[in-house]
Amino acid sequence: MTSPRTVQRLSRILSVLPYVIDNPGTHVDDLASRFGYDDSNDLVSDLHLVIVTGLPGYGPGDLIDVDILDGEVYVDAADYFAHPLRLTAPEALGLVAAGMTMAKSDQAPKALGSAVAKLASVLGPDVMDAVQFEVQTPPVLSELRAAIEQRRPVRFDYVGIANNRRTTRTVEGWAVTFNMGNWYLTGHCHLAEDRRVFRVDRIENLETLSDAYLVPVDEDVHHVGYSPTESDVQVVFDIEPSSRWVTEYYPVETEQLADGGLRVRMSVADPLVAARLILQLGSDVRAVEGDAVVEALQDLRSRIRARYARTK
Amino acid sequence: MHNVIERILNLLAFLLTVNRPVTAEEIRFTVKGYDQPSDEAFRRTFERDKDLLRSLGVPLDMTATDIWEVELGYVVPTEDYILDDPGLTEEERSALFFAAQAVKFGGQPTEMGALFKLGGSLSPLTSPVVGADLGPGLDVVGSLFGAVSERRRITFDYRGKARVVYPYGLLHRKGRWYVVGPEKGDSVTKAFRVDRMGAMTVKGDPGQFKRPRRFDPSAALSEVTAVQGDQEAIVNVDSEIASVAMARWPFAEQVESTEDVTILRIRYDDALRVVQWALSFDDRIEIVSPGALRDRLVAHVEHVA
Repeated sequence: MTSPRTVQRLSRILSVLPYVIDNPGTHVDDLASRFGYDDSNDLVSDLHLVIVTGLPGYGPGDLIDVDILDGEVYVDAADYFAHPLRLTAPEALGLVAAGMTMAKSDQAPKALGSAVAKLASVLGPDVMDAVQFEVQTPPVLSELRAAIEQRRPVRFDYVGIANNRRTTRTVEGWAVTFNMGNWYLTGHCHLAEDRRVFRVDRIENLETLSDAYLVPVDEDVHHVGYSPTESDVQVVFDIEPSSRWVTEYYPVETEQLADGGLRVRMSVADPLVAARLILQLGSDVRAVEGDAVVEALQDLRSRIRARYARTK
Repeated sequence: MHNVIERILNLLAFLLTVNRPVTAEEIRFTVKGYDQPSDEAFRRTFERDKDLLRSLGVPLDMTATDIWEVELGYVVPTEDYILDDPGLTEEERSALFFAAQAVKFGGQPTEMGALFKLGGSLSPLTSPVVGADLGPGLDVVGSLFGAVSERRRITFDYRGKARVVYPYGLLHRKGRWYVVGPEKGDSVTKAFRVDRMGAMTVKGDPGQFKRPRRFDPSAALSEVTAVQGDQEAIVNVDSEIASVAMARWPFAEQVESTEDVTILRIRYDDALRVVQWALSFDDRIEIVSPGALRDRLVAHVEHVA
């Protein structure tokens, strides 16, 4: 197998050559930054590989000419590399999907719309009808984005995913991210005094405050998935094959059981989250191990029993 | 790595200039870099190189080397090799660069290779405030996109059956990708979840089917899935969470609301889904009627080990 790095490197060389053939004398530093080289020397190393290649015969007249004069790059005798390569299907989709998604976000630069339209025209207009990205943008999204850009905290009412309780939060926002069909706000929450992730569709009564804050530089601000911590609790339970779908929705480890069932290992910050899931699965769950979760499960069950005993 | 890059550049230069199909044998003795000692070593190297060319996007075809069609040779048709240049301005490339940085696929950042082919961008790397992850990875979805745009058929395993489908369209909804189209020999348009497909392969030449004019995968999928149900239930919801609960049950209607309790009317056809929706809010939703549905929830809760 050829490494993906080799493919990337070759692909980049095959993009640099047409550009420099079309724009002779481009400065090596400009060329490097245009094509994403961290260091101009890496670009120069790539060009040194090009010099020793060319057409059969491989004599002086057959090899590609690369000259770097006072930092200006010239490429000769490589007319066959004068045109960039077509986009692969994944490349085309990646760009179009990114463009169409961000065009809906209201943070999009103006030229994004026309860029996507031009891409669409070469890919075929009927194709662009046939490929769709449904990204609903909730009304509060632009206010959240503006607040983050101005580094102003936001305050809102929020019904927590873990406990289904309503709280009022003040959050120093870092980013808003679309993931698995939902928008999330990440940031530092004053109530929790820690990093928190909020689902934007659960945010109500949003207001922007006037203080200022700093966004930490070493955070993956778009990360919205579950990040395990030391205080998490573990639970193990067996499920029937019909409940296999949980493995697609929750970060779990699984083990196939002889009778077709699955043993699920899950680690959660709040035992209630696992207890709720187990209760939702009902009789598809066979055995539960993990004290904290078993306790949360009993507590949750008696709360539901109490509610249903009270009325009717 | 240097040897590979040099050899591939030589091979590609040869294929782009030779203007006729060339056999593997001719490549072996003409192109610099194929001095492997044995036939077997050459064959392995050449197979790898062909895969590499294809993953770069190089169209590598096989045709007969002469009119008697005795031998097959490799050819790279220039017209297919060259990018169909959309003529982007510098500003448009920057905009795409910005978008590509903001969007990931299954946690993987978008490859900048496509943007480099379009001429790169001088914009500095930024950290966009708005981001998106359209997961899963681009490999399968990318091939499906190719099949949709070239109108080629696809084969895959789905729910224990081997299927042949004409992919009319591709849709991203709620974090999932769907292929929408009819199965071969059938006129009903169906939706298939991409993450449930097994062994997906794109087959045959381009142009195998006609896409209906102005085909709209979103509308097609909605027709397939927008089942409201013909049974009705009444539930009590703590008002504090009513808005969130309604957002999670399509077409829920508010009947009455006080500071403490909100009464909702919902339509359904699958009792289990109602029970699971209610339980996702712990003890804060209570099914009032029908009685059988209420009993179902109570029994469901008691069942757990």
